[in-house]
Amino acid sequence: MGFSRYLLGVLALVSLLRGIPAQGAEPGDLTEEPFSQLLQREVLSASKMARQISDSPSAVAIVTAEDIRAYGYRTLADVINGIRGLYTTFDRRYQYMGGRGFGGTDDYAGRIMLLIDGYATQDNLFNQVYLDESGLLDLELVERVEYVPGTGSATYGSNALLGIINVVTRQGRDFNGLQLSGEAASHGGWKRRVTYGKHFDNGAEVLLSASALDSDGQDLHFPAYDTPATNHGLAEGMDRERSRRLFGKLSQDGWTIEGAYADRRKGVPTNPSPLTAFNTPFKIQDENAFVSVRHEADLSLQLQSASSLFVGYYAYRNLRQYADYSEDNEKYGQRDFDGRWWSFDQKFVGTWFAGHTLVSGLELRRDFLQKFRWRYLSPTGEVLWRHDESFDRSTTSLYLTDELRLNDRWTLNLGARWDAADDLDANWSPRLALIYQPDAQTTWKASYSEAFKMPNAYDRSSYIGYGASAAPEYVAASELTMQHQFSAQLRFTGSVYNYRRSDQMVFREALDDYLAAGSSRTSGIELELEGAWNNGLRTRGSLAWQQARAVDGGQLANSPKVLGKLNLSVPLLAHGLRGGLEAQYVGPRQTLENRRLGAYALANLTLSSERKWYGLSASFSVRNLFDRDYEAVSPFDWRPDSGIRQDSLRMDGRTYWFQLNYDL
Amino acid sequence: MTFERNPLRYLAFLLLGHLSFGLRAEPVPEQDMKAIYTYNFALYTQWPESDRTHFNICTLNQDEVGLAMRKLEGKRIHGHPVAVVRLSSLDRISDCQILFIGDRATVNLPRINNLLGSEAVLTVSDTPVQNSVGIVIVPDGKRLVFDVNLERCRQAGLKLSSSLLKLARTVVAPPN
Repeated sequence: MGFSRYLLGVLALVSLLRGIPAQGAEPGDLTEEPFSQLLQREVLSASKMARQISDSPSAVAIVTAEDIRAYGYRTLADVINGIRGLYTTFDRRYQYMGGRGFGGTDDYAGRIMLLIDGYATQDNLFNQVYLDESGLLDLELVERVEYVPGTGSATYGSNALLGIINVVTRQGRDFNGLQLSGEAASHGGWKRRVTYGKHFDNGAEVLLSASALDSDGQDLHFPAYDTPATNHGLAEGMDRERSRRLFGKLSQDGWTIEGAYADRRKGVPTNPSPLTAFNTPFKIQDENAFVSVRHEADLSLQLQSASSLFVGYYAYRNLRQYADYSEDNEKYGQRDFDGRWWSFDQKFVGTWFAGHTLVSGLELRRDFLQKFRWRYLSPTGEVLWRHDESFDRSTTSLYLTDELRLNDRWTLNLGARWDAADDLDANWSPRLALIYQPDAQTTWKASYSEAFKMPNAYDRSSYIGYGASAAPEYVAASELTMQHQFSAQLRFTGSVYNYRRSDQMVFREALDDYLAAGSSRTSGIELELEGAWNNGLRTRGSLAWQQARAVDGGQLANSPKVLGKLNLSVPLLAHGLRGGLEAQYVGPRQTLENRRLGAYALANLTLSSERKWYGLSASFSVRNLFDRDYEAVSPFDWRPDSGIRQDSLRMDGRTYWFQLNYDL
Repeated sequence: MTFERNPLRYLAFLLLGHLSFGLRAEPVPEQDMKAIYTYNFALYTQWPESDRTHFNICTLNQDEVGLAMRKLEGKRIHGHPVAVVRLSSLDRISDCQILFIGDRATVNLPRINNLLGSEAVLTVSDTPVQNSVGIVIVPDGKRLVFDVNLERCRQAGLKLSSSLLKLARTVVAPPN
């Protein structure tokens, strides 16, 4: 009985998989069919689901402007939390991204890449991606966010270990005029934005935007500081935040000038260092900016060229107050870190040979300023001690990819990139992928790739004083993905992957020094079903399992074994309104004190207007709808005087957000 | 009847299901159909003599149809091997025999027509811009139909065969 039931299951599955591809005949055969007959054929209408346009050798997850609105996403961190297999961790300073064995607390920066319109935008000191209010973009300016899992060093070089987040900004025509926006949020949050966009008859297109956000924040309670000497654990008025953003894009005749600027200042209510005093101001400021010029041209029908020049700017400012300065009179610590860089990229796409798409290019990058300044001040503000460190780096890179279409079903993708930095040995990052499309609805992709991360300026600074110097870190990734379009309404994506990291820096007691000898391994499975129905209902559900080992072989901290997501958006009130419901499950994970932190599930609800009413449109969101009490793994493995651990941080309960837009 | 009791019955059911499935013409994915339509427009259209080695079918901001068209590579149209080109700018549009203009490029139609002038380029689109391109493909129920703007085609010096015009849903003739 058991066997026959099993057999039936298999048969049903085979029949399902066999029956559906049969609906799409090979178009190759259709060229033989008389046109008069073709006109009688029914078509499977193109899916309303966002499709990946690039032939990337992995299963790209896409979040569109529609999704951003339907689910009330306000930061890239919100977007990432809705993507299969990913999560973010907030330490009340920054949001950090994790997934696929990345996201350990010492893993915070420099292992993913954030591209905005094709430009790598992480800073040149920490290589951090800014996913919260310190990020460069207001999400209203985003057309789509693509998450490309799998390593990206074969195309983009250093840092793309876990994957690439590719943000595509909207065009002037999408606004076609002036838009004013106001937002109010819990904890005294309030934001203003003005955006102007236009497409002109001469082909020129412009998009300009400015925004300002201010938030009072909360008076948060931290149990580890619940002593009379430390204000009973209450950090009062320490959570304020403000951010200012500018964005501009101008394009005409293949030329595009684009620039962005973000200045975020935030109080840090936790006590991030064992030396600083709880409930005293710990202020951080992150300024990110870039200006870029790009020219794209079709040199011939077989040769396209894209040239771009990018200038980047980053500044970090911090003021902190020490708990005990009786010995050295150094009450304040001040940090001024500055980064400046430029890069030039020349890329060619050639299609001279039938079946081949060749992409080749050269990138020159100069990190001409990587400066760290530490100042220690007396209670009266006098500089008692100063320390400066400065770095720089020149990198030359060459890359070549060939996408070889063997026949209608098989495509081979071969690529490699060579990166030579003046302070490191040159490195090759290869990638090999095989793509198989047995029918119009099914795509299989198998890939093997290697990626690396150059030690960034902060890494280089951190190991000064040790015998070791910061070294590059590597990852080799293999992945098998399958995507199947059951119908125009339903799509399945599944992947199995394995990441092997090597040359991670580890501390060896015997040597009393660091050594680039650590290795670790992560494997996992991700499954997703997406639906888009004609009545306007959109759904997405995913489950991800990951087994991540730390360098010492134990469980990797802050790496949940299970992640589940469910997104549902539905038109209401005769398509006047859209409701977006989002549920996220994060499985148990280890803290830095090897404590197991319980799983949690969150729900977020958003109502947004589908149509404009005299130019007005609005959104209303409730995050953490059921006011769940949950905790995030903190980066603190030390205990304050109370002896109470602080390896986890309590996150926000229910919060509200309201946005009103007015199009002139 | 429960299938679990009688697997053979279930098998027969499946087999019959598949057989009946194979008897009628199966629906074709929309993007693939647009690519095949475009191929047929080419077959039924006469271009002035040129010394081009390839028959260039270009797409402008329509990557999905562009990808579907790659399956046409290797075919021959009027004796020339088909080359499918996904263009990113207007620089080379006059090198194409067919220019398939996607949704996001239609704002540039006045410029495209200005640049093309009387070049022998058949413009095709899947957005309703009948007045500005040679042929538009439009959905009609579960099928795709097409409308021809003869004036545009004549400006480009193209001759569309009468059998193609007969298959069109509507033909807009130039004013006499």
